[in-house]
Amino acid sequence: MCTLEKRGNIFFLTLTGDDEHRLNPTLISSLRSALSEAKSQSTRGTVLVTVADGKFFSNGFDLAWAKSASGGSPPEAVNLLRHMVELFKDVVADFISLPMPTIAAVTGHAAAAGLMLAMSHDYVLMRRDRGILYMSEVDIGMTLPGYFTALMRSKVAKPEVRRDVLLRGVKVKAEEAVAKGLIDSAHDNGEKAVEAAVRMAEELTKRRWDGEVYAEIRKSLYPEVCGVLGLSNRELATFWRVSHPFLAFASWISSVKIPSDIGKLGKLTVLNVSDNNITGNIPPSIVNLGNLMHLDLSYNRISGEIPTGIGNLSLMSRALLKQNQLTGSIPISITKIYRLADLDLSMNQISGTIPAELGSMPILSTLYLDNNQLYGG
Amino acid sequence: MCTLEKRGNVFFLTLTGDGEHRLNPTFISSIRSALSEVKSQSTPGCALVTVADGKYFSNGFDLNWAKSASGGSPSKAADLLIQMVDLFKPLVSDLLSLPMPTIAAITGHAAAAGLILALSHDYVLMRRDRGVLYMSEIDIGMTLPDYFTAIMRSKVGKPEARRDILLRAVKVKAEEAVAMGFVESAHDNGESVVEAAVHMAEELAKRKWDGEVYSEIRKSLYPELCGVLGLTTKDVVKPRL
Repeated sequence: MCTLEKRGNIFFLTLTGDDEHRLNPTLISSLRSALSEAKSQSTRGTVLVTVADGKFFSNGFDLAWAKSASGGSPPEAVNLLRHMVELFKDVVADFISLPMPTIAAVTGHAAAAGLMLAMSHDYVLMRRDRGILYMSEVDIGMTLPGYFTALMRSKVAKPEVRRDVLLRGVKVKAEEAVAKGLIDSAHDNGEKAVEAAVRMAEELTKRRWDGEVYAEIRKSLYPEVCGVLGLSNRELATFWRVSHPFLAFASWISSVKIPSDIGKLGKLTVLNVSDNNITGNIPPSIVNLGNLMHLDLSYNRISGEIPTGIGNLSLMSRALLKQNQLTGSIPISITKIYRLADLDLSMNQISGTIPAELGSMPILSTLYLDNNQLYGG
Repeated sequence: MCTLEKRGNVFFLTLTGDGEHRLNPTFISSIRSALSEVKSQSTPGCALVTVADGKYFSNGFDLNWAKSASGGSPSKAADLLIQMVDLFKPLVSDLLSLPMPTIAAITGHAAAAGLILALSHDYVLMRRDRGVLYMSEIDIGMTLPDYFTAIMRSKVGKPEARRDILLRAVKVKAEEAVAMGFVESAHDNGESVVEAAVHMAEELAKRKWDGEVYSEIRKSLYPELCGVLGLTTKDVVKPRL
């Protein structure tokens, strides 16, 4: 069916198994769950890459299933096909409104609804040595759902290409697909195509785009498709005032920093400012927050070093500093915080040695130090 | 702010001073006055060339003004930004309905609303040695006004170019913009692009087009954009017999 895996900031949606990845109600439902999961875990800078095992990306709707499930009744088979068309519409809608960039690495044949699945992504990369793209409907004897043609019109500019693909049923290999404007790039083989997709994802991840804003801009690129899918754009004023009163301006309000006198908040037990586009350093006065139990500075752009006196926060049980631009080394005093249970310093630029004393902390149960420049330990 | 000059049949709208030519209410109003003047002095066989001093064509809306005038309140700043979005819309309409050919000579960076200002002209010529075109909104975390995406769809033909500009915020130099199809031509430097713009303006002016007819045909090229801007078209028949 399909699996969803997260490595760093990249979600990998894999169509599993050596089969044709035919879009039947089960696979469609599985895809929707995966996309829903990715959406719920979306943060600044997350990206989705879709890959498929075997010789096929996807060969379209599961006509064989419709036939067998119809009990030999052609009208019932047609009903089941229509049912899949309706179900798949929601998958396309999910992709168009996914709050992160999407990249399809096409390493096998993509036909009919399978090609639409690929083209629902922001970027399509394909191997040049194998695999063809093909809209088989005219050959099979089926007309196209409105959202298929809307998607074609939105993504493929040249009328003659749309005619060749839809009305002539041409089978297109990667190089030709690039020339026709169907896909973005062609790569030597399957491995290279996936590698290129991952590299692109890593580049896009660095931009740290706000997912909600990204989705709104994407939808505004494809008004016809959104109309057909029933997806609305949030009205500009509402979006700026209600949804993103702070985020829309965080990058130009130059003083989005943790106040230097934060240490005065002596009674503070929880400080959670994650995902707020905060810049500047962690103020040294933070070590005065003697009652602090939960510190979450993750997903910001905080730079400088972790204050050496951090060990003063003797009641701290959770310290989450993931995904910032922190440098310097891990202060040894942190290992004296006996109540510390969760420590996440991942995705920074922290260097130096990993203090051996971390190993003797009595209740430390989760420790993330990955994606830094640490050694030893 | 801006100045308006007429040399022969060509109007020169200059965005003056060495700054970023940020589109705040005062500046927008100043440009609209100039265009109103151009319109009132229009005769068959005129053309408009827009140029800018300094390193920028225009770097978009004046976010600093919104910030300082907001007294530190993000929602007030949002209101002021929306105000500029609403004030800039009729300026785009003015250019879309100007009764003469319009040419933007890009000698510096054009970003966000500044790029939309350039695209509101019939022809965009740009220097190749400096300056980038950039829709910064996704990087800043702002969604786009409806008339921005409408003008992008009207003037940038390739879906992948629109995606790269709006969804990937690529910074595009002149040569690439020509390849993408929305810049007419790339020129060696600032002087040569202005020269080329003037030359093109003079060539177009020689056609002695009726301004009203020209304006209506232009609008009929961009029905979606006109719909969003609230611009109507009408039939004009003034055959030269």
